[in-house]
Amino acid sequence: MRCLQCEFENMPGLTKCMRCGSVLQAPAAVEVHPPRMSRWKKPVRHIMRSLRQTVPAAAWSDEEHRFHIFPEWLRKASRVSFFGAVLSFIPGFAHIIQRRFFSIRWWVLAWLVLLLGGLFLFGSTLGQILLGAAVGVHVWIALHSAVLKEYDSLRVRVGYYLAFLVIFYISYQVLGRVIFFNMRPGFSASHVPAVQVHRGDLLLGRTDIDPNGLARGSYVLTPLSTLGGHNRRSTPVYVQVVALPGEVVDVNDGSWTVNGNFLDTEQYPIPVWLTKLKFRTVVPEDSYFINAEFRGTGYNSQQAASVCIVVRNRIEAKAFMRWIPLRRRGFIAE
Amino acid sequence: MKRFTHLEFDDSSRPPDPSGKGESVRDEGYFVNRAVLCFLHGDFELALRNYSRALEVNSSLFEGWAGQVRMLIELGEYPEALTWADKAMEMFPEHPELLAAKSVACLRDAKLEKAKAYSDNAISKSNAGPRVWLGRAELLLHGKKRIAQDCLSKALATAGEQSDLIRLEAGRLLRQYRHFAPACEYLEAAVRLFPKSPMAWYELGFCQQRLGFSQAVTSLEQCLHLHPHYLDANELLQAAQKAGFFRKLMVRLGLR
Repeated sequence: MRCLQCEFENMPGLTKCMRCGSVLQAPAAVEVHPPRMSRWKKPVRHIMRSLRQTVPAAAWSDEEHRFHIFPEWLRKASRVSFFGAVLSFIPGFAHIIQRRFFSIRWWVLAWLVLLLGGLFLFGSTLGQILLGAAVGVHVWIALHSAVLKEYDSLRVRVGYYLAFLVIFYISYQVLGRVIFFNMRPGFSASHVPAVQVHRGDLLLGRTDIDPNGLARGSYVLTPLSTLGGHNRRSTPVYVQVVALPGEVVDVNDGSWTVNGNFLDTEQYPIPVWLTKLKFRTVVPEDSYFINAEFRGTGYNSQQAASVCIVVRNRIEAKAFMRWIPLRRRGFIAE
Repeated sequence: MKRFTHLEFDDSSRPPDPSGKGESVRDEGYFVNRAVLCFLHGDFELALRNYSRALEVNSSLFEGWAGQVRMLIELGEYPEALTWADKAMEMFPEHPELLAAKSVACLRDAKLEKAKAYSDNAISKSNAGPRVWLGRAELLLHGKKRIAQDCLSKALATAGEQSDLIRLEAGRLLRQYRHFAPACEYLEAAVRLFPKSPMAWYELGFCQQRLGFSQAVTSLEQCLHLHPHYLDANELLQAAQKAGFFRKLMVRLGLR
């Protein structure tokens, strides 16, 4: 039996050529209709192909087939430091284009776990550590797309790593503010055990609020001013609104009344530093009277009254959730 | 006698023989010829179907498998072409033409490393045919190497009875990589060999249009005469007819 490919005369009964291995007699049932591309895949493939053509990467380029869209001096630098990192801003995306995502899959998974863990524990020390680790892993993924293939020198690799670490850290900061643009975290300066808000708890608030429509008992984010430092910008904290614009506040013997009505001390506990003071004040129309645990020492009554009043336009957000500690996590009842 | 010299294009003016005498036998050769005709018409989908029908008749026909892979590449279905070349290589292991086809598929799918490896493998075989050299030429054209022209010459030299088709394919390849002047040479020869091939006329018209030659209109009109529904040719003809002096100059200077 003669082979059609190499014309070697084989022994009868053989199914494959002894010399070249070609099939001598085709199997009775063989699929002769090729697989076809689904129509929806066409644009996707076109995009991926264009990316492979225009985005140089060490994985598929070599000396003979350099891309000519950049001058020679820029080619390597751009390939290494720009495209790989930019594409890897979505972790693993550069690898997907290079069709070697498999090599990085566990790192992407680790990044995802660290990121979600960091977000879940955001505001705590462990949360910060996890988020930092997520950034570190992300940078490693970005470098793995190109830099680590290009450079063997430890010094260069470490240099690139540090440089990208700074860039990615800044990017994470910016991105966090962009994604959560209407949310502001902050620590509580009020201590109200009745609603499970303690001093130092991390609260989450929304910035899209109407500063004129705040209710008594709301927690608002505002920079606290101290006597003599009204113009200095301090870190904003969440404080409790005690009295609304136009109301009359009396502080006397460790309790306070608003418009002559005693406030429930469980809901509106008077801060320690105010218990020794005694004063009466009217809240201006553009301000709120707030309850903050620590405002400084040595105030007389008049000064204390003035620092407890916050102007409306200095209110940045209204808290809706207790975030940290975990055991008290939950929404704040209105 | 060359293999495709007696290819018959559809000629509706000829009445069918009612006796059925002289009707060609529908064997694998018939379908392969039909596939080549469809290719020359620029209808790659139908060519693929004809190659499949040839394989239905004889599944060990190498030309059928190789033709299917080539048509898949022409249709832009590169991963499918690779899959199908692998399947064909189960029957024809390490066949250089299949390796070359895989090289072309990888190259057009922007996988240069693989394309180079397949091409190296194909060319290292002792029985490297014309399409192996065409594939090599494409790889070199992509790398902007002048030696690509030598590969095309080698492809023609090894083509034997397929030289007409190889000439046409070489012209198309050069056109694809914007070497319009040498492409014109190949394609002018191709239209002499296949005067009823709309694709050959279109390719020639394209090159002539890019070179700023006024013959482009004639070539494209000839293409449309043979295949009135050739959309690319229609668009190109309209563009060529509308082109003013400035646009022609821009085209001539390679700025468009």
